[in-house]
Amino acid sequence: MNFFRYDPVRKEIRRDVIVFQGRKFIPSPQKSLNREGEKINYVTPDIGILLPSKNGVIGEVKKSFPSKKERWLKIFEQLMKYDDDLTGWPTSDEKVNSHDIVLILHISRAVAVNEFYDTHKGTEIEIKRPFSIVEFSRSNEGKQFYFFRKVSGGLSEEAIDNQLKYGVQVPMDVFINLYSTIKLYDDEPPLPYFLQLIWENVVLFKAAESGRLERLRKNQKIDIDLEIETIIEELHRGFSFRGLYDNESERQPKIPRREWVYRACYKLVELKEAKWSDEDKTTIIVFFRLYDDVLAHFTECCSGEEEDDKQMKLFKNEEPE
Amino acid sequence: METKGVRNNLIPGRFDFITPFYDQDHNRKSLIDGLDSLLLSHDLGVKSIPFGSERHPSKLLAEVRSKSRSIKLLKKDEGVQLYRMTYNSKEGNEIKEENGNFFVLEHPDYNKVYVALTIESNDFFRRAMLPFFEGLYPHVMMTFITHKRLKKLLEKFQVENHFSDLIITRASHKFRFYKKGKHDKIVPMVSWPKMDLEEAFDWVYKSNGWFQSLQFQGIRQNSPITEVSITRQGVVRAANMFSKVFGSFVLPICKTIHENIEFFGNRSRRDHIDLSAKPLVIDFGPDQFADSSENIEFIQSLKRLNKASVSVLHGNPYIHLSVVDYFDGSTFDLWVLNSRQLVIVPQMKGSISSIKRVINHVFDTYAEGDILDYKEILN
Repeated sequence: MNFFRYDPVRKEIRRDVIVFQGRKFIPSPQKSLNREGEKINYVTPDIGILLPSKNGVIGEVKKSFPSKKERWLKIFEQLMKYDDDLTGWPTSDEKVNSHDIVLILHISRAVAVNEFYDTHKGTEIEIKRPFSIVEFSRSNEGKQFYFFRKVSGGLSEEAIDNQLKYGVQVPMDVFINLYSTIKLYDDEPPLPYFLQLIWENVVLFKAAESGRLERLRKNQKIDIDLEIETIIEELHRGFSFRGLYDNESERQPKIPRREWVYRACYKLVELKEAKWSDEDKTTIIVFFRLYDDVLAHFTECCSGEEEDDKQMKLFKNEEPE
Repeated sequence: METKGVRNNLIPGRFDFITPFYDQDHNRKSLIDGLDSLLLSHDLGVKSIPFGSERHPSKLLAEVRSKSRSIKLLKKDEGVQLYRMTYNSKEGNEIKEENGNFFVLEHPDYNKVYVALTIESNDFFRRAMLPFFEGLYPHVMMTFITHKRLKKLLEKFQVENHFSDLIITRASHKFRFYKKGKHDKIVPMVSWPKMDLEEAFDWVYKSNGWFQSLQFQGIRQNSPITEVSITRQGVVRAANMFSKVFGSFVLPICKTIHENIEFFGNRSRRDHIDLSAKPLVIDFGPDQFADSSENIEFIQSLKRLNKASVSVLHGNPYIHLSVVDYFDGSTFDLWVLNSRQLVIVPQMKGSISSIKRVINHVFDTYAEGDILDYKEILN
């Protein structure tokens, strides 16, 4: 995304490039049915970019590809759904002139996946729009970088295509604002991390507002009344992709999803860190306490949870490493 | 307003020079000049606490009332107020009511910066006044003087006042963390061997430490002319030459507090309509984090921040911490993504006093560096 957003001459983020995540697109009538003949209501690529030229880019990000090759075809079938005259772009007519499709995957599988694509291209896999495979890795040379390189195909934006041809190192510190403000994607985060986010960014704020935080001791608590809607709204406003594309749209998923927040709240109740304040479970009373390490506290509390066995997932459809 | 007949901390039989001084009307200039004259003729010392506050002290202090302490405004003149603090002090099983006066001087240029001054006894200052101001955190913000800056202030003071030497007579210092072999040479924590400035600062710097407080004599023609003490938090005491000390130490410290307020202000994401982050950077110099063991040192240092939560999201090869300040609910993301810089990202709330507290803690327990705006490192 940042290849398109970052202006290397002015050294600033371009305001005329719109980026978004998890947006719902409606397929064209030609591609509105799946293999089984069932209607496809919408497709939701991981990332999307809209350029001032009214051209677009759609990207699917796979940090870890499935180990079983038979599942790879499914991922390409997903990409083939994006090879379509999609409706739902953030333009006045919800269309673009044309768009590229990019598969972004970790360097460890890039060559194998590219071979797979070459083998099945023209038979099981058919993508007519400009399609490219880009690999990435994280590197440390005294400075933390993400390294990106094109493995195959080409991007319509020539300058970016040339950049990616030989590989680009993107220093992480250039985008620290993004890493610090976008903490939620359209995939459910691990429960301890999500509880920490709620605790530190919603519950704590209310505790500070109460005027009692300053004098609170470790053996004391503050009861915080919270509506579920408030939790969703606060995290959505402050820590989702909304920060990049501040335009509420029905096509844009509201992150965090209500069910994630409910799961987290149920966990707080189970842990006796909260109780429901009404039968409808629209409001919860959280017992705010001081913890020396909020994340460690909730990690320990959730030690039996399934999520603990997994690495933190950034993008959907990943297999645990 | 009458201020006589209320001092009960005088030595019996001694003439009370202080009360008439309190009775005079003072403005900023006459207060400092008056203190200078008072010190010339009497065995007194001035103790000063420069501080920053969003609220005017007359409003802030009026709200302070506890079972053991109360503050009363006695006089209010142009830029200067006189207060009396009444407090309980315990002697054996007996609880005595004591009191002492202090001035609050408003800085003429920096509207959120003040100096609290007293000529009362050391006992009053140490046991009542200083703890009182420290206890007003986060509503009152003192400062921290870096090792480099403290040395510069002392050097300037020496040159401006034509001292042949500044000799350290007493000091307390702290080491950031123990490194085997590095701190083998033990120097007493309080009684300091008479060293000149260069030698003392060099030793502390090489030992990865800092001066908590420093007492020194200004020497002219082999005789001590003045004795001054200064702490890392900016508390300054002088037995004479106060107007010079005020100009050389207190006013520059006020400037630092003002710069901190300006630089650390408006960093909360909630301050901005787009909720954008306004990070700060501490630049430690090249290769600070070249060795991965440094990550552990840094994280362990941060974990010692009191009344806070410090969570490690990533520890190696890069550092990503989430820090909560329980004093006022400020939260921060801390990142180390290259070998020389720490980036501090204030989240929805990142108050001035909290940013100062986090940076102060890093400087005290890990290492000192230059504070920059994040934008500066991008260009």
